[in-house]
Amino acid sequence: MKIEKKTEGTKLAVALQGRLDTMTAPELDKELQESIAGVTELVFDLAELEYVSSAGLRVLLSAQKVMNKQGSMVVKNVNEQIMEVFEVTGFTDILTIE
Amino acid sequence: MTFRKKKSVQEMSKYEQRRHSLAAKTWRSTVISCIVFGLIAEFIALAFYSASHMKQLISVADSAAHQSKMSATHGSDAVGLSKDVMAVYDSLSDEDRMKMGTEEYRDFYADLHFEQKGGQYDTLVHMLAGTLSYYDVYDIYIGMYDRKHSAIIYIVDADPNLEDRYMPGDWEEVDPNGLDKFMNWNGEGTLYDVEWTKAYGLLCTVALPMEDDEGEIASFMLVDISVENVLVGMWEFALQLTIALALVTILLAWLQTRRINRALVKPINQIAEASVKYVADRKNNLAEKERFAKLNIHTGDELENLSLALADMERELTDYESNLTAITAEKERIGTELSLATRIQASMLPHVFPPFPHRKEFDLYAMMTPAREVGGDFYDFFLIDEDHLGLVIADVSGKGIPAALFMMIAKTILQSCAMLGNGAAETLTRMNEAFCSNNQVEMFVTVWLGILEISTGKLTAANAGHEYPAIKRKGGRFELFKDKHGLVIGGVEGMRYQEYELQLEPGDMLYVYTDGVPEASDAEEKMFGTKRMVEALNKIDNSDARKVVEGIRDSVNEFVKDAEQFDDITMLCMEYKGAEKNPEGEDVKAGTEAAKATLTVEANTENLYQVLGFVDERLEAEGCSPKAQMQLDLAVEEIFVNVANYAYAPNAGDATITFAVEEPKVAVITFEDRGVPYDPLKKEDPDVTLAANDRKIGGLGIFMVKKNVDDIFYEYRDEKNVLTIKKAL
Repeated sequence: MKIEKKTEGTKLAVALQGRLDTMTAPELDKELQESIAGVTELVFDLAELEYVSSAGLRVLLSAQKVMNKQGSMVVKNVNEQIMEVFEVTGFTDILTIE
Repeated sequence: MTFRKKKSVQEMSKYEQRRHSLAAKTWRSTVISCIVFGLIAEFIALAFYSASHMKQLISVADSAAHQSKMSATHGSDAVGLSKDVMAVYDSLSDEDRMKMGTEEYRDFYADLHFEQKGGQYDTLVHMLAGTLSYYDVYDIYIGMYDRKHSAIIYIVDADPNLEDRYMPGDWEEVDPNGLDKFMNWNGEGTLYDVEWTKAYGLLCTVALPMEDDEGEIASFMLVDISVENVLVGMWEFALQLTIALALVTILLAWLQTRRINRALVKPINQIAEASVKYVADRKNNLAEKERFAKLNIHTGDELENLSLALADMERELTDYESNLTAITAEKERIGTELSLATRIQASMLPHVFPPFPHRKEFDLYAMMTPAREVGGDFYDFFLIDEDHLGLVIADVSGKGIPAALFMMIAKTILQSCAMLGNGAAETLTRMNEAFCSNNQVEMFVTVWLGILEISTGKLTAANAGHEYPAIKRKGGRFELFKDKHGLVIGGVEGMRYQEYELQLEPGDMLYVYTDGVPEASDAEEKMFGTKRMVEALNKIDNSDARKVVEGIRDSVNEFVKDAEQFDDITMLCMEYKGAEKNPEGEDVKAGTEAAKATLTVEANTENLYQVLGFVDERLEAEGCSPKAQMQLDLAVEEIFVNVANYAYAPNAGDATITFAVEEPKVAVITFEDRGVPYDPLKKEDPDVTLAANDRKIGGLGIFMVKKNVDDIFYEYRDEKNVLTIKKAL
């Protein structure tokens, strides 16, 4: 999986590419923990993300919990298959999906 | 009718409390009794006072009358004058008499020459006037009574007030009673009469009769004294007495109130205050429990006794309370444990149906309804090996906790014995030995145990004192199967049980039950009975095992109606469907064999991609859609990660993944591990409607698996966790 981070002031944009699964989720978790302090606007671009498992969802949920306290979080460009995973698990109600 | 609620002491105002006090009551009652007593005393004192005063006055008047009589009879001829006047008076006609006060009337007496200076009359007037001035009396006069007209005829009047002075012969009406009293006097004591007159107010007249030589009364010497003086004196006396009594009353009431306050009110208030605080302490759950014991009341009377008795009561209550708390806690504990026992017992019996979803050769359903929280009945079924299914129905004597404990042991021994591969009869024989060797409570259990050879339909069964099973042949009717009975388990040591064989064909049904079913009784104690049960079995929809069990339960309920359930009701129904040996089935088996592939790796997340690669390779070969592939990848990842993280933790072990394809195009993936037995399907699904902050991190994996496959089942066999997923490609 490739993770691209872009910071503009307190805005952090993260673009994910490939598979967000048990093996790669810890990587994203680590990246986020390093950069999330002071961020008020977090944007995930999932345009290139092919796959997400519960380990990935776990990272997204903890990011959402943090951002609930310090700002807002948006997930965009979600493809159909990943959207289905979000729907089944009720994540569509938790995440702000654009 | 409405009752006014009584105010409590705390709710009263200060004023109400004071009015409410014993001191106020004492004050009021002392004042009232003093007033009543004072009035009576005053009345008596006044009576004595006036009587003695009167007596003194009368004795003065009497002396005046005696002295006047002496002078009038010895110094002058009062008797003679009286006779002369009366003679004229008596001679008057009634008409003339009424002329009194006129000149004409006076003329009747002209012959007696009263105006003559130094005459009889003149002497007498001066004599009487002299006495009058000496004595403090109102008037002294000589008069005679006329009975006929109830009148007094004045003879001589010494009234110093000339205008009021009567002339001889003047008359005046008098009270006939007083007249009689005077005329009939017997000469004893003092003759007097008290009379109210318009002209002079209350007058007391003292009289002394004056007789002529023959002893006839010629006239009376009369002395008037005014009683007004007596009355005035009495009034003054009463006033002084009243003031004195009032002072005494106030003093007494004050003293009494003070005494009551000290001896009664204060201690009572202390007791009341102690009880108020005692109640408050209870409400606030304070530890202070010596409100009454601390009371310091030493009145040496019933109040002290009361405070001591209350202190005793307080001690007793405290003791009782601590006992009660302990007992209540104990009861609660027993209740909690009982409900826990109910749950444990329920969870002891297999209760997920269908129990072996991948076994299509038979269908099973069972139910237990205990009469109390826990029961002594049980059913059980278990796969002894791939080809043998154990079926049990049993009934422990007695009910409640003892039966439940016994049932737990019975179930455990029975299953472990049967799982060793012993036959039905051998299992019961061993079980009996185990029970007899250590059965001190004389309990026993009836058991029907059947072992079905799944591939052939051969049922080997043994019956230890249990009810007859009911069997329905395919297309036929349920009938009781009167099998050979052995003695109950735990009855006699050394029993050898017999077994029998029964060939089941596909479509045959077996129904076993405990005595709770035929012995269920309605309100009139009429029993359901086996005859009615068999009828019901054939009447209800008996197309599958579940419908049979539920149908019989409904029939029993309908029969029993509102009567209390007396015994545990337990039943089990099994339909034998036969091994899959139709031509199609054989094809499936062959196909499955062909497409089967196995991968064994160490259960570690590092190997995830190897596992996914193994599965993906086969899915692509089957021409799977990208969507189904991603969903299966998800499921495989979640299951494998789960095994890797938990099955052997903290040690390591292997996981085996088997991939097969069934017709028509269904992927069957099986995961096997030898880790701790764990059924992930029992885990409750997460609540996916919760907000982010309420969500737990994790717990989603197995839920996502369930959502992404068509079928999933778990079993623990050969000491392995076996989880199978199926999904159409």
